[in-house]
Amino acid sequence: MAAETGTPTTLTLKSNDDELFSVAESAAILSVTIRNMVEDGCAGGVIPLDNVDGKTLASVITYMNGISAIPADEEKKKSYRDKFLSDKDFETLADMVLAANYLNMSCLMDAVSAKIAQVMEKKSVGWVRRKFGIENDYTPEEEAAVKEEHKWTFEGVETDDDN
Amino acid sequence: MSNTMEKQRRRIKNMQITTVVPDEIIVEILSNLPPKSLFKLKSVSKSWRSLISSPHFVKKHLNKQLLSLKLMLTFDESPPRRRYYINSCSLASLSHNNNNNPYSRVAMLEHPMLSTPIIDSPRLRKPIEIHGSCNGLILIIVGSFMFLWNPSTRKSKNIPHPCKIGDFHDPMKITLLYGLGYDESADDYRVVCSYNSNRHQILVGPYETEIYSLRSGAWKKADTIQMGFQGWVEYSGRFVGGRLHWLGGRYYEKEGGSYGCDIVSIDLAEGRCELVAMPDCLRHCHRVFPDSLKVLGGNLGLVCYVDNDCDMHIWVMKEYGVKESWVRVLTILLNCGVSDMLSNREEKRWYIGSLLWSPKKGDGVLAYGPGATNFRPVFGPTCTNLVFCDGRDDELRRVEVDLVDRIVEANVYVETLVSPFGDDEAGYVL
Repeated sequence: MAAETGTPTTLTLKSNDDELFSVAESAAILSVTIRNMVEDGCAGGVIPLDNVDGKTLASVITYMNGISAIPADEEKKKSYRDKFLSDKDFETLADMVLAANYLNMSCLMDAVSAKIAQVMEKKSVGWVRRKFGIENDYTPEEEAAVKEEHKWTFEGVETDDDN
Repeated sequence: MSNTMEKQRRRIKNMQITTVVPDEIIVEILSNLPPKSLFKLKSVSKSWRSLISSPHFVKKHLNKQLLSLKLMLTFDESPPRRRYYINSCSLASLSHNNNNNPYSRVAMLEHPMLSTPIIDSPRLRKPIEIHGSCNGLILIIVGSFMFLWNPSTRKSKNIPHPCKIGDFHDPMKITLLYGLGYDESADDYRVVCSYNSNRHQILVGPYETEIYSLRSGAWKKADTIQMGFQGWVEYSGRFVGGRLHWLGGRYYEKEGGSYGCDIVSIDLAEGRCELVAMPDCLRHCHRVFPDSLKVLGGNLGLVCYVDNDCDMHIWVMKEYGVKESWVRVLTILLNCGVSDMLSNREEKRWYIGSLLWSPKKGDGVLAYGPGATNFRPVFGPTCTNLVFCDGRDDELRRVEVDLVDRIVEANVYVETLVSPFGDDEAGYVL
């Protein structure tokens, strides 16, 4: 046991583009997916994470290390999460929400979902379609009718651009 | 990597996102958004529209929003216009201890009376009364008009008033009690209206009681309430544990006579009526005044003034229906927090507009005053300050706001998609 020998156990995680990462077990088990693998004895060698790429995994590990270094103080954890996510663009956040879901990390999942929602709040319908890759399946008449029904909700929406 | 390659990579990545983001993650993300944005996003696609309209999503969204409390203040505009209007702001913005004006992010709400010109004309001016707030729905009453209103979706439903007695606005002739709650067993929102037309027994009863079901769209007779109140009764019922509660004054003849209070409750499923268990020290407390029954963190709470008239004790019934579970959880020393703005002793009685016991430590109690109360008739000087107590140090923090008009009422609500028309509307698909 790590606690008895004094050396923390380290796990090796492998992204789907074959990058290897070392991370303290105590931080990595914030992911229920990884914790289950550890408990099932699969952590001996390298843990393959088939749904997460290297860039995203590096980011998630930064988060794991950062948040697990904070003692049980919900306010401090919250401000760490806010700061951690503050400079992430939409694509990075989308990758992270998928990774958080796959890794089963509810605290990260909630924080990233809330952040994505915050980014989306004032965006145009076109922006949301592009970012989520959604095809507009309304006929022009149907779309006009839906927009007319909720006309007031388009007040204060940002003008369409490519960002 | 060349620019073109980068763009291509982006495009491929975006494609991957589309195919991978499953509906449950979309739901997670969207449930953080306010109703206004969600209504806008109904035009993204047919599947987003039906997802956002589904009862499952409405519930999921509600559960997420229950912690984000909003404050709703009803104002009585100064002459010459003299309209009633309603403002809202987030409670978190008031509790944050920053130097900016915490009341700056305020929005005026489009309440149903704005589009009902006949009521809003100064000649027929009647106060806007808010008698219930439950899961985003507000019970709003002006004269004989009754609306279920969701301020976040701007939808409102006119409900026919059940009381058929003529001229029922005269408080000398009739007393009307109202309440709004949710019956979990039937997944139904219910409005309660109790009325008494016997001018000699206005407070004592009996009270004819009817319950409106949003699901059936009809009123139904419930238990007649025998109030037994003396002196005063609160008009708005407080919703806790599937029951609505009204607080009223009592006079106890025994031992030379003493004033006190009682709480009567009615359950929304069966319409059964009973008295709430309270320890004698509360039942015989003669320093309980109208607008003292509160909902604190999902429990019934009671405000009792201390003998000096300006400090108050907050009691909470920790376990519903258990007399021994009433405990004093907080003492508010109004004197130390606000004494500098009160010039004479007469004005020292502050009324708590909305008392909150948020699950998160730090958010707490809101009071306003002096002299403002939603106990009719309304008297008192203009309130020009909001006072906030964060419950941590029992001290009131003064929120510096210059209010031009008088606050008549303060209520708390949440921003949800719950429709005043029930599930019928939510299930509507283009």
